[in-house]
Amino acid sequence: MPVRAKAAFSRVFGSNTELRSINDELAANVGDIAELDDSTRLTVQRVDRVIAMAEAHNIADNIVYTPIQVPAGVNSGNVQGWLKNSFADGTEVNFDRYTISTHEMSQATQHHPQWRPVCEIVTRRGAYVGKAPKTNDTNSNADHLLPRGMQLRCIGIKTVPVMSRDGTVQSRLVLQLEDTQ
Amino acid sequence: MTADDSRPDPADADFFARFTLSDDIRAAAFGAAGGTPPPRVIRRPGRTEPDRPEKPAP
Repeated sequence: MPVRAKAAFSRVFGSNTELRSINDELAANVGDIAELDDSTRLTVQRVDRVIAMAEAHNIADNIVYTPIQVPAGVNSGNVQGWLKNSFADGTEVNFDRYTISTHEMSQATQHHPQWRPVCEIVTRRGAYVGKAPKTNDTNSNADHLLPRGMQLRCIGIKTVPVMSRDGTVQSRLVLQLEDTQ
Repeated sequence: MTADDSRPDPADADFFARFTLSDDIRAAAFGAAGGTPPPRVIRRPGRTEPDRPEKPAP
């Protein structure tokens, strides 16, 4: 792996300040890296390159989970309505940002209020990284880093039961997405 | 890109397995106040045109 690409990857994913800065710029420019300054664009290209190297080893679809924020104007009792209005089946969406996800839904939701929705994403893209805190007896305890510019199709909104680490079961609102690329 | 971009590091055989996201990144993603901003809608079902211009007006 090229030294500078690895250094860029380590810098971006070694600090949320750096990751948030890059992600905010990507979102502001709807993913168009031509609009970024030279230094940021070079960093993004290097990070893309590292993720692509990891993806070369992916041989099967993953199911990964990431919680999403709810707009300030949506109250907790109307999250399902907001999801249905915004992300009806067949809607195509784009994550302009690099997105941190996990293979285990309980890990994605353990600290979150019950009304906060979670995206369930079926994709072959992205990179397994490291060893996240293990919460069960599977081997699924790696975080999963999704590349920027993921284009996905909404395929359902469901409420599912999820067992948390303390054994309690909570309902979770899930926005199901599949990769269109 | 520069010439150094193609220089491999011999110590990175299991780079991804050893790499751990920082605690503040995991907290921003999975913590109590965390989460990813909602994805950008690019096309509604039944529509052939993009939902809105690809880039915001200056």
